Amino acid sequence: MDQHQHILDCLRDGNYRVTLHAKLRMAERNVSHADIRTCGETGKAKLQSDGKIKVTGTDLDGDELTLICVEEDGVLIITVF
Amino acid sequence: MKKWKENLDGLVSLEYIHFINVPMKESKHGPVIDLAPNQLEKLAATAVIVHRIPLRGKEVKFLRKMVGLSLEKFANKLGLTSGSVFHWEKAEDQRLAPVNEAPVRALIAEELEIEISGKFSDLLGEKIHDIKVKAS
Repeated sequence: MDQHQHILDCLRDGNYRVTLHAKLRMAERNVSHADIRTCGETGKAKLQSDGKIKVTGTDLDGDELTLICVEEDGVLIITVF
Repeated sequence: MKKWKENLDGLVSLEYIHFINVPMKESKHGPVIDLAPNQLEKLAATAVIVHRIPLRGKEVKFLRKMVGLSLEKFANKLGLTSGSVFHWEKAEDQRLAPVNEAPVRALIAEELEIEISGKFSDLLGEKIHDIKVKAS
């Protein structure tokens, strides 16, 4: 399966973990689990030069949301903005 | 892989929620919260309802998103326009009028499957106070 699609599927299905840094950023921006799932559903994934995957989509209310992820013991969200 | 538990603040947007014993694990990208993604949010939302925290704009936004409802769907359930809910949420520190607070608390409790009293006075918040929530 295409790695990018796999990451989007995991986000949409809620199969991911978050770093402490990402969770703190989520709280600051009021980004919820439902927003992450919506981003996985609506988003597009792109491989960055540093090997991380950038997912750009929308949150529950249609506002833009970007996630930076890696595959490490499943999908791990490193930061959100 | 190293695992530990930690007491942490700032994990949700409500400043009075303090998490105790949050399971953590090491990764190449820094500490990772070793819990299902929505578990902390659900614990915090339950605490807001059970402890009868007054509902201000910031609580409404946090609770609405926790139960996975868009502005439009949430407003529809309350028989309101999404604009009304948007204005509540924008006024982060302003408490809802009792006529709005009671149905919002009842709706969130139902979505979270929490049993609460249907007495009008019990559906209103009391006072904002610090809450320690056990994460594990």
